[in-house]
Amino acid sequence: MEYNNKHLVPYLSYAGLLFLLAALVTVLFLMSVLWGTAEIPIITFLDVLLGNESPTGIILLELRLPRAILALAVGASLGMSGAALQGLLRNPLAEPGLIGVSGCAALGSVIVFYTGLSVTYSFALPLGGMIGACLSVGLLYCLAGRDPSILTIILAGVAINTVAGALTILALNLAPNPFAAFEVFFWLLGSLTDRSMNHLFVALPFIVIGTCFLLSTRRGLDALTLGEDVAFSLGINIKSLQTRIVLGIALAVGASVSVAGVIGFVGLIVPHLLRPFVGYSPGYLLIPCALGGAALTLAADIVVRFATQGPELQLGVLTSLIGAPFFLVLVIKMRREGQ
Amino acid sequence: MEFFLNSFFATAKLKIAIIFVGLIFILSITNLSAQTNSEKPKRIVSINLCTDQLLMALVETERIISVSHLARDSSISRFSDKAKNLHINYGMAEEIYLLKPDLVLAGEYSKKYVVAVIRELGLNIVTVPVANSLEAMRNNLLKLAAILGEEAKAKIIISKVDNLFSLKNTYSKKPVAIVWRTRGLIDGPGTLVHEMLQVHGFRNLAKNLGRGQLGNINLEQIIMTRPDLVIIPESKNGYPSLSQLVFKHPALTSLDRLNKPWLTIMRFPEWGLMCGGPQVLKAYELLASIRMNLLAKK
Repeated sequence: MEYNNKHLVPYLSYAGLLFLLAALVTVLFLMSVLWGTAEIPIITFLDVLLGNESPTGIILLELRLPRAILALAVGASLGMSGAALQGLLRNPLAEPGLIGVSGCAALGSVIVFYTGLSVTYSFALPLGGMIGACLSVGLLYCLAGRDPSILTIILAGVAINTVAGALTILALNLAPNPFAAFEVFFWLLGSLTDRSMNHLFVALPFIVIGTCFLLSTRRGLDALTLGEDVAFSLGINIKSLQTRIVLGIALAVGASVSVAGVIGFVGLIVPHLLRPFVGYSPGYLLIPCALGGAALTLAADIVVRFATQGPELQLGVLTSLIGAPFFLVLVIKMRREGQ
Repeated sequence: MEFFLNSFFATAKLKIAIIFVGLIFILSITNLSAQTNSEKPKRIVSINLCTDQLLMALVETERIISVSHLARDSSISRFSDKAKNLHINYGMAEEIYLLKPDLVLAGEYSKKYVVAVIRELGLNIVTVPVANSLEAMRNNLLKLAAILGEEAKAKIIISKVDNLFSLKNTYSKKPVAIVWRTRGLIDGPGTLVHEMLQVHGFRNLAKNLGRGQLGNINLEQIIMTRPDLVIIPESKNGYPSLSQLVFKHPALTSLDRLNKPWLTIMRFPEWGLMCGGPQVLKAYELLASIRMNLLAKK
């Protein structure tokens, strides 16, 4: 699939786009901290600054803040990973959830959690997620790297997802906790409810390192749009580029999934919406997608708080409800363009 | 909860079960026609955690062939010690049929297709409804005792429970308490837990919030309403549990510090909070001692 420049948006510069997205993320972040079941009066901020403890202060600092930061980090890593993966495979349908990266990360986390490893070593949880994610991206690349056709990638993704799903159920059957399957059923649908600073400390370092890896591939990704041979002749070390992308995605998505569960379609929707604004350059797409992913996840995480009465709607359910129709439209569009 | 778990594998098992019925049907007619109804059942199988509890409390272990696998979990089963020496089953029609029971006990929420298949096989199966009140618990005990031939034992248990629950407490203050389960579920009016809280002179936060039988509360609401006592299920076995993580949230520790000496987060054995049965007696004692502790703090 080749990118063309016919949908360039001339009236919005790259800096302007980044500024708009950053502003959107800031607004959503503040809303995420301020809106919830409990009302937070303005005086609470004064209390927090002065170090006085109050119930609303506890909610603000220990519930809403870690949740908002996690939504931001998880959304950013999903958005950027989607963009990088689409650039690497030169395929607009690649997405961490669809091609099984999230599923394998979930498998890794489930194994680490129910064997009790994560109780002893808290960093084992994101590590499990990252190893799972790394294996799946590597496997996908082996299966589809030489022939990055849409069909091959989607089929490889289906296969990886199925195996990951089956192994997850197997791991749950072997778990000592009789309710493990029930718990994971909900956890797999993705959520940021009641996460604490501990989750943040465990996952954030890996997400940041993964993001840095991905950001280092900007020039390489652009060159890769011309094909591997041309990119090589432009002085791009293809092997190193692939390794950095695979590692970056594994770190960012693996750590995200291990604390938030599977939040699908963010990596699909965001790059598609933003691609026309950056002249279809996969390198330039990375940062806007991180911001866009953060905005989408923050917004979805606010909606789930009020969408249902009783227990909160799972975050992954909402993103899938938005994402799946989007995916279908995309498939129809691609078929038309192909004709 | 069980229902959700089971529905995953429902279709596959159903197919196997239907084939199984066909194979076994002829055998079963000859096998069971010899049995008489006049005697006490001697080969009893229970496939539900709640009926396990009733069974193990009422009947000597010699007459029990098998209990459900959950009965060995000491955090949800009061009589887990007894269950350790008993055969356990996973509630599958095939294994239950092969045990040749003369009575099968199932819960209201036991897998519907398994109950149907066991009935089709001609086995004697009794389903016991969930006890959501003292009255319902009494009825369950009496109904089951009549089937098991243990009326005397049941009457002793019932009189003990009645005695305890008729005690009028003299507490002048009524602290607000809440039983907070996994996934934010809370027990409102119309549950045995609600009755127990009231007997011990607590006001149930679930009722104050206008929740029904099975309500829901999130961590933010717990922090805002600041109840005097939050009862959370204890995980005795210590196996990793995702849904228990919320009870370890640092915000709860902060709130406990803020509210001292009032707000207390108490761990309570889960068997005391599920399926009304003889284990309620022990749960009553535990709650009474918690109430005394709260008074002492004041």
